[in-house]
Amino acid sequence: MDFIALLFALGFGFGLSCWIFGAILEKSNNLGDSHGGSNDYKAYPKFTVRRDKMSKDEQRFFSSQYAEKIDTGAQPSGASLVRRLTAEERKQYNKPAEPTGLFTPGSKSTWEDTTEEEIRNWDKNAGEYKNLAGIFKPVSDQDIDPNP
Amino acid sequence: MASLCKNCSHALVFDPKSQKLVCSSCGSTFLPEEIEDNSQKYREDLQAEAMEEVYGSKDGKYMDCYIYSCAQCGGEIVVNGTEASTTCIYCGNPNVVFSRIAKQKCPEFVLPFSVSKERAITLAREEIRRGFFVPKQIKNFSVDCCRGIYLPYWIVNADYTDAVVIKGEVRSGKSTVTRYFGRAGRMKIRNLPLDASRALSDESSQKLEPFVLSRLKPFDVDYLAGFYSNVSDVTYSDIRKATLDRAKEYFNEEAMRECQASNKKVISSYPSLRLNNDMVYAMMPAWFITFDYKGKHNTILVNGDTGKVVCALPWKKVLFYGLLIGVGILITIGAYFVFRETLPFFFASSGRRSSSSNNRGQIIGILVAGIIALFSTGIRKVVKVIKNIKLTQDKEMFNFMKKRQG
Repeated sequence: MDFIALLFALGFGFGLSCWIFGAILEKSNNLGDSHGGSNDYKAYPKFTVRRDKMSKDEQRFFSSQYAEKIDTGAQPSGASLVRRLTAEERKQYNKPAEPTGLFTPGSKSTWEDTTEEEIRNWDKNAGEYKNLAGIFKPVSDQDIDPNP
Repeated sequence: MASLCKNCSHALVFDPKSQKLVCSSCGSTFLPEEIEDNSQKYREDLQAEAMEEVYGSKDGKYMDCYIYSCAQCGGEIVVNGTEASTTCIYCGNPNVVFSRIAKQKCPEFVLPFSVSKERAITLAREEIRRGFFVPKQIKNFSVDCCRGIYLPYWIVNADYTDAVVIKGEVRSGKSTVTRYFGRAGRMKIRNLPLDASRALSDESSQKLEPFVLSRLKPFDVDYLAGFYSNVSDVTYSDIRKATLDRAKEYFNEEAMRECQASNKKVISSYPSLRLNNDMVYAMMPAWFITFDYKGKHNTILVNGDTGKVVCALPWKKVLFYGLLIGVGILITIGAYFVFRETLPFFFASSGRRSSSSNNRGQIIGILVAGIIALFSTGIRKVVKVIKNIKLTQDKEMFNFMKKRQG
């Protein structure tokens, strides 16, 4: 019994010590190890489907059954360098997000508002960010190089 | 070329403290918006020429080098493929490669430096001095080089949908069962700043966040005077991937928070992301401070606006392991006496009622799981520090900062 007590004591003693000094080391030598959180970017998920007790079979198909695929076709090619788009290009690419509904059999789109509406609402309620209201407005056409 | 002082025609430099352009010769100050730089129009078409073409050099190390001429003294300025502003090594005047920030390439916003060079070094020293395990040589580090660099960022809006399955453990009576949770939904992500410089790792630049975007100002080249800067060189797929990673992180975080279980893990997901094409191009300020320790270059990053210090530093290994073992032995001795008294009670009772022996078995199980959790959490923290030290000593980050003129 003494041997088992010693084993437990060793595990607990060195485990706790490891945890304490790991935490101290992290605080002492790892400065600024964080990035912006979901609050900073207003990233609040809205869950439309919740399942709490799924069977093994159900869980295998859940992702493909309820995933709402967004149409990402109307975008510049992935290999091209990111740049400011011309007014014409913006018109071409800036179609509102249209869920394809490919993976939501029999269900309606869950998108309540278009991106533009959402941004307008966001601008209205932006609080401290209010003076950024114009940030997403198109740049004036004279700034745009017609031959990029 | 930098804007010139209206009074004495010396080059003006942006001063983070006063948020004005200051003349180093006569001390006059001007607001950036007051200054009109006529030279910009003349120099917009002047391209930085590839060094290879100018000198015919086929040397690989000059692959990304370009020659630009100083607007003040005509001296040759060597810039890399993405540098937009630098300093002339001959006359010391700030220079802007206008062709790289003209028209569509021009940033729309700039977050001006509000932390001065001296303040950035002081902040870094103050933070480092608080570190218990930081070696003395690092606490008193001598700055090898300190450069203020405007980093290019794309500020992105995106729509995201996902359907995730989370695996977790739930108590059911006396045993633990595995349960599967499903969460499907959507999310919008607003004003996410993404580093647009390929030379700087996303992992390092992310840590400079958060930026206070309400302090963004319409872009004006005068804010670049006296600082280095780079232009965007990322592709849409780089931006997509970076946004997807962040969106996934926030979505999964919230989905897991909703599920009442322990040891949660996302086992499957079906993410979909759409970037809005109204991305905003902005310049964000950062100080890069380097120092040498045991033959290795370490780079400390300081957010040029908020003053957030980012780095991971080598530690006093002898002190760390000595304390870890010493305290470990002390706790072991204390715990030994406690366990010697209590364990016989747990083990001796197995012959009696089965329910009480089950309970005791569970307590022992919890104890073992607790010990494993203590070890793994502690080791994870140390591994994280080691990983971040590698980032601080990353050669690419050092070269990104160091390989500039002036």
